[in-house]
Amino acid sequence: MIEVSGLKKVFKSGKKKVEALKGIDFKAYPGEIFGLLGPNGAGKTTTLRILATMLVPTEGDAVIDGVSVMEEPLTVRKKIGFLSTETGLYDRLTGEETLRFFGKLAGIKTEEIEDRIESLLKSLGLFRDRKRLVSEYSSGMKQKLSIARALIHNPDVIIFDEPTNGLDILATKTVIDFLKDMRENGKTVVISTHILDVVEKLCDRIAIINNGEILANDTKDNLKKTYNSENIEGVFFSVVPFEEESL
Amino acid sequence: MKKILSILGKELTIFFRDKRTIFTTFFLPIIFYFIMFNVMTSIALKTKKEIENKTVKVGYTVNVPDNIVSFIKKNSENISLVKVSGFDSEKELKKKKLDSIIDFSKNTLFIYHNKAKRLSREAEKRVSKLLEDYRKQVISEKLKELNIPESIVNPFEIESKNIASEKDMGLAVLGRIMPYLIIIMLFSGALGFGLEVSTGEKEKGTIATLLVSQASRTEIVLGKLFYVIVIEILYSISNIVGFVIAAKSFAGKTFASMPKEVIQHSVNQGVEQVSFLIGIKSTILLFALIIPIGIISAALIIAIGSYAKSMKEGQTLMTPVILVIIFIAILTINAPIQIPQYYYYIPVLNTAFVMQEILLGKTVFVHFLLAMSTTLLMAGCLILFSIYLYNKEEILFRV
Repeated sequence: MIEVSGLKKVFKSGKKKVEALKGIDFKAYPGEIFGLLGPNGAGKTTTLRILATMLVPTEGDAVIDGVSVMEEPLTVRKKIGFLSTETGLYDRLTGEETLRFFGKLAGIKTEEIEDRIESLLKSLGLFRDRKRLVSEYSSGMKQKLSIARALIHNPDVIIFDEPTNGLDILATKTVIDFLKDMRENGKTVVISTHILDVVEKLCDRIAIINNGEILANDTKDNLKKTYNSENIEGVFFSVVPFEEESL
Repeated sequence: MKKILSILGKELTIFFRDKRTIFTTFFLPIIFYFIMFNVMTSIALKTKKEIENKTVKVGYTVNVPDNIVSFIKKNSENISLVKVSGFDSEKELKKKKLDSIIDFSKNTLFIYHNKAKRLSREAEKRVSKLLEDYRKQVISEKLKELNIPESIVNPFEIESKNIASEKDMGLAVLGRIMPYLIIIMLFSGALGFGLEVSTGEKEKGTIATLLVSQASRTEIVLGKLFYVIVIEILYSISNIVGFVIAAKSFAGKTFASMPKEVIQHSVNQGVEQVSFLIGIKSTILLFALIIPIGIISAALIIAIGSYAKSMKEGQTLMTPVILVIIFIAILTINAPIQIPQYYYYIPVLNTAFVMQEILLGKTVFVHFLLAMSTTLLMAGCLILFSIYLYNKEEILFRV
């Protein structure tokens, strides 16, 4: 479970200060996919980077399965698997080597790593290609390997920044199937996206974020009821003031 | 420590997977020095022989006594004497395309020449030698006339005997370049690899996966730092091996092609005899000195790489650092005969001087300890600085 409370983030660049998050609150539960929906620059990636302990909040806190990102970032990292559209893989490592490397960083015992690699690669259909270099993988295969990398330490929380952004149909299907699978396995899943269709198809609970503030936060069905809309698109435009460049 | 070694292992796997990188890092220097020495010494020898066989044109003014002119004419085959009518020898030298002009005034013989031109230097050398011979001849004749034995003005002969072979002397002179080479290689050799694992990870977007892994930022920095140190030390070793092989193969030829002034300069600076087959103790001392310098350069590269937004920016930021290092390295080549004590307190510079001492077989243990301690202290500070930068999100996620 994720509990975010009063989360603020101010970026300083020289004398300039940018308030990326203005004190947001939300909760994401196990067995659910929580979607942060918002236009570019709304604060989605900043929120996920704080949850992934890459950034430190200026104020507030986020607690992941009872562990604070402020107090114990290393423990938090054991509980989360972080993914983004940028697969973050090393071209000159093989699929197997990639997982072994991240398995070692996760502190998994050598004999356990090999079993874990085998089971992950088999379940994602990459076992036959395990000894090929990542540079030889297709974009779909890279996305699958990236998923395997995030799951190597069997985390309970999955954080996925813009999961389908820029992906082709096959890679998108891989990602969507994976997220659904995680939900079925009782994991807490948080995604950020600006694609309304993804939210409609995948998310159980949604927070609409704009200019660092959460404007609406509830289950998908409740939001539709509250804003008297048949779909999330209607909800979104009822909440976010329409500007030419907002999407 | 396991995580640091995992990061080091990952970086080394990536490095050794690229055959072109392996070739350019480890094999190219060996080939390069071999070709460079061969071509350089061949050209230098050819030029030296050409100059030696060339007849130089020497002018003389009306003031030069006839007996001097006739002595030069009689005793030199490769000096062509030309009478000049003008009174301004400097102007005449430039105007008449002569290599040198002799003038005589107030019992002094002047040899006008242009040190910037090789043929003019050669003309001055030949004329000076002839005039010295002539002076000896005149003194000898005068002494005979006065019935005084020559031993009065020349009570004993001086003959210096250099026991070093031409090869040893060549190696000795080349040995002065070694510290310069090692330091430059340590800083420039791993620049590309260091930036690749720091700025490159930012550019490729792989940094995020590392930052959310269970490795702390200190472990990430140290893993990358060790990788850069390993590569730059391997790179330096391949350069040293390449240099030593080439130097040993062409040392005799190099010495023969060197102008005497260069050799004399090196001898004046304390170079006497050096064997490139240095002992185990010296090798250990040299290696011990290379490591802190390696840490300094690796920490600097990682720090700059963490700050830079792109590889291009990283290279731009490293340029002044490399220039400072080149300046320090040049200082070691043109070091004063008596090196001031405070030089041994300046990190990097002191290491270069101590490396020279080791290569020349004149190691001063206090200097070695000073070099090690100050350089290690600086290396430690730079490691802390790069860890600090890696923990600053405004640096790491600088837009």
